[in-house]
Amino acid sequence: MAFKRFLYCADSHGDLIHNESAKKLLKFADDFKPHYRIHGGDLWDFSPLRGGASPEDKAGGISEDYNAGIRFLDEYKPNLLTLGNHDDRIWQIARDNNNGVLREHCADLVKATEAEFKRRKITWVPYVIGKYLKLPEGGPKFIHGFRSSNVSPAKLHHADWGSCIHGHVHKPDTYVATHADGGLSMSSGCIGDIEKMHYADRYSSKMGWRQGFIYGMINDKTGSWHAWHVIKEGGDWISPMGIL
Amino acid sequence: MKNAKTEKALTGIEWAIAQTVGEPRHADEFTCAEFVKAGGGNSRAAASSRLNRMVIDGMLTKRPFSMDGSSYTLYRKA
Repeated sequence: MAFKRFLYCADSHGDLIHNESAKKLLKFADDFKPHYRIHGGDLWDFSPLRGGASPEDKAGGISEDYNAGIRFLDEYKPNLLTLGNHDDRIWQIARDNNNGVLREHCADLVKATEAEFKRRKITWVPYVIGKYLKLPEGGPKFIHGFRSSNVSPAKLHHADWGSCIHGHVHKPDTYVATHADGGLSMSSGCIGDIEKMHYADRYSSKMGWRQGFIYGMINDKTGSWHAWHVIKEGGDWISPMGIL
Repeated sequence: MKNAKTEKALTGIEWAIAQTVGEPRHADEFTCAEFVKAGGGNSRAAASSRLNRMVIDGMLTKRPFSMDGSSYTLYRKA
């Protein structure tokens, strides 16, 4: 019997990345030496492509954002990646948008991005409700997350996906299932810079957001697993291993 | 880091986005909510109806405008 280690981070949001969080994550990865590195989506922010984006959002462009996302891919080196709702904007526009020029350029960027994933040997899944990542040993489903409620997000996602690890809500949360078969779901903190995500400045849920990531271990024979949060609380990075 | 195809797609997207940015809001333009606040009607519905009548009569012009992620109609003296 042996255990394999995995590391999950999500919501780095392109050029809105929180540099301190990224450094903590990469240092942790160096020490922890995970067999699997998973990016749980929202690698990019793509705010100019948001429906109802303001002229100020649009003026920002997307090149910096895109480059920052690719840079983070090269630093974090995930084996597995799921797209998030922010990433999916280019896939969505490439599929169905009434602005033909924008649609065609997004289709080109989709092709180029899929080639970038392939070149880095990243197994990835689109942001589609029934698609998720799973380790060869079993364990939880890895998804980006679809529900936006910050009230018990892990429990809400567990109801739809069973045991899962997800991002999307930027709020660390854990749900231990009260079920004969057991089960555990976790919502991860984010790697993006919470202060810079102005689109949520008026949502009270933002007060529950934290920078953070998740690490875990899985039994390669039985698939049994457990995982733990690393959370920035105040100025400290708190993990069950101690203060990082 | 990026290849030529990625670069071209990014430039193309930025150009296409730039085309969708409308004219900025002018100082003499106003929304229906601002018209209500200025005493233009007892309710939003009444103010909206009054503004639309003035547009039909040629006293005002109107255009759609996006602000803080929401869509508005801006009115201005014709």
